Amino acid sequence: MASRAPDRRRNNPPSHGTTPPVFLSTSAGDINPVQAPSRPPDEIRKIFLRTGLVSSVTGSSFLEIAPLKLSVSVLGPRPLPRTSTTPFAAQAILTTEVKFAPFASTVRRGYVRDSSERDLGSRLYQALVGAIRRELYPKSRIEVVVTILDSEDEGDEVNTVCIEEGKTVEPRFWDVGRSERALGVVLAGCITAASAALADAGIEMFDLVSGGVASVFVDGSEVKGKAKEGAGPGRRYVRDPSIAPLDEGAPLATCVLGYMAARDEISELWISGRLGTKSGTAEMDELVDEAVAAARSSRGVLNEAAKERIQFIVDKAQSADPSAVGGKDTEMTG
Amino acid sequence: MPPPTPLSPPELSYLYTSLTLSPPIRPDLRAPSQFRPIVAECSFLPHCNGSARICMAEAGECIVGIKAEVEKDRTTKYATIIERDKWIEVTVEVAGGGASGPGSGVGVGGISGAERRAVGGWSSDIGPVLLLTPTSHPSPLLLSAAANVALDSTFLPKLTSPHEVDDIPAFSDDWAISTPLYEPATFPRPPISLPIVAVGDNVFLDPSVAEVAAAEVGLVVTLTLADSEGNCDLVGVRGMEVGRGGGKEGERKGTSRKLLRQMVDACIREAGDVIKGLGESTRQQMFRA
Repeated sequence: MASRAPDRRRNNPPSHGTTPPVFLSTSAGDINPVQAPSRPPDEIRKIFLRTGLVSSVTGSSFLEIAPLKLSVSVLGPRPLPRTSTTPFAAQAILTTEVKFAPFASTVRRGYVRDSSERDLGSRLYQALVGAIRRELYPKSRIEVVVTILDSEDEGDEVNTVCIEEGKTVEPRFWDVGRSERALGVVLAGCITAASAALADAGIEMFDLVSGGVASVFVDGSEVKGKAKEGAGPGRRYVRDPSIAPLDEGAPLATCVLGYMAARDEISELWISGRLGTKSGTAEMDELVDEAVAAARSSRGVLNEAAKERIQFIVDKAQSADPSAVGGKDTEMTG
Repeated sequence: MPPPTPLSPPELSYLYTSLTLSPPIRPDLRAPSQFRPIVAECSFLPHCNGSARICMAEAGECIVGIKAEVEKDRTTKYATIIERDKWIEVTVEVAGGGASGPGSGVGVGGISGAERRAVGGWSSDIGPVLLLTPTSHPSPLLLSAAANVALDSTFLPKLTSPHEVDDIPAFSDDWAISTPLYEPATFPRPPISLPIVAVGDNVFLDPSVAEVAAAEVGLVVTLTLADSEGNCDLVGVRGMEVGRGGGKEGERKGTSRKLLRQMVDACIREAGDVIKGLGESTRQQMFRA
């Protein structure tokens, strides 16, 4: 990894981090800690999504998928600053920013955004920019700020085997795409939550974008060497794969995408791993279809969150001013 | 932010129209799947294990140096990683104009997501330096072609100390017995990232900066040669920022799955020849040297 310049402006903890005590006798017997009850591969994890929790911004949302917790704030649309390099913009300028909180993973994150955070930001931009009706907001900007409060660890526990002295352990696979998969799950969460926040901010969009992740594994029942040869059969697809427990082995490839369900369009695509192309794009298509299915599932949550918020606003308006309700209704029907 | 567009709206509209025709007309009259000519040189930096220089007439110039370093396995404090030594960590750092350029992560991510090769205990740093500001949008092709050639020409000194000893390993000074990182005629070969854009229903490989500005959808598809018959494996697909500056604003907001298939298909068809061609020229130069 690239060595970063130390952040001298703040009082930082040791740059190498601190190591929590590891007790070999217990950790050896408890390599896979409490696992969530297994879910079928075509089912995504439960999502908690709520909008409008931050009062100081135009729109906001909070999302939880198992350990992943993130909050999104949408600022704007507001006028471009005078000092802006582009004093005029026919369409709204969208900026996206993704930041891990320093405590979001076991490896401490700095206050300055690092390359992976900048990269996540630009992918989020890609996913959202097409969905927003930017031409309705000329000379203005919309800022989407994502703060990741907790994430599935990007550390290397899975690739690490704890051994007691004198014991031999079975060889394990080295999960190469793990950090990418972890980032992918985070990105999918960011996309879903950011659309909810944009909807909460009342920004006009063509469609809500929902994020989906899917991984493809070699089917466990098949011999490893054989599966590498052939394409198609012997593959197992898992929607919304978890990062930690991988009894199946390392996935062949992972696909993350931003999907607009009403338009059946993909706004952001990120595939990493290895897919054969003997039968053209067939393997990729299957993986993309699985990810789309995962995105469709999270779209349901997104719709509910948007609906819930509207209901909340309507209820609030009704209770605050009963006389205004009639007027509002006629306005809506008219 | 999309890359800055040097073209005015009427120019973009004209370009968009000519690219959506059937058959399309590209500004430099290339065929849709035709690449611009490139100049490729390799292993000329004496202090690097592998190096390459790629020069594209219009898209700039890039020098890549690969430096292999012995690194202590950071994860072995309480643990043993088995099969760890089959992998080689590849990190990519872009010096020069590329680091802050729009979407410079595109080429980088594609490369680092690639298959890593078996050499015990090595970690290598790829340090591309963009010599001239690439006029083609962040030039994933330029970067990845340079990294491809550099990886292909990388040699590592022979390990002389026994492998099991938990000490700093010793290496032979004799470069005549050094081993190539990618053994010739083995597969997979080093990967390459191909940029591709779609305008209307037409797809264009190796888009120029003007074409990127007019394009509606962009992808960077990373492929590696999987066998001698020219079959490729897909190792990465990423979105590429494009200008969306073309005529009909509001027509297309995302990619349909059909168009996506079409774009990746076009890359798969061409990638084998590209990687083979680069490998061929690398081999010729290595033997000449």
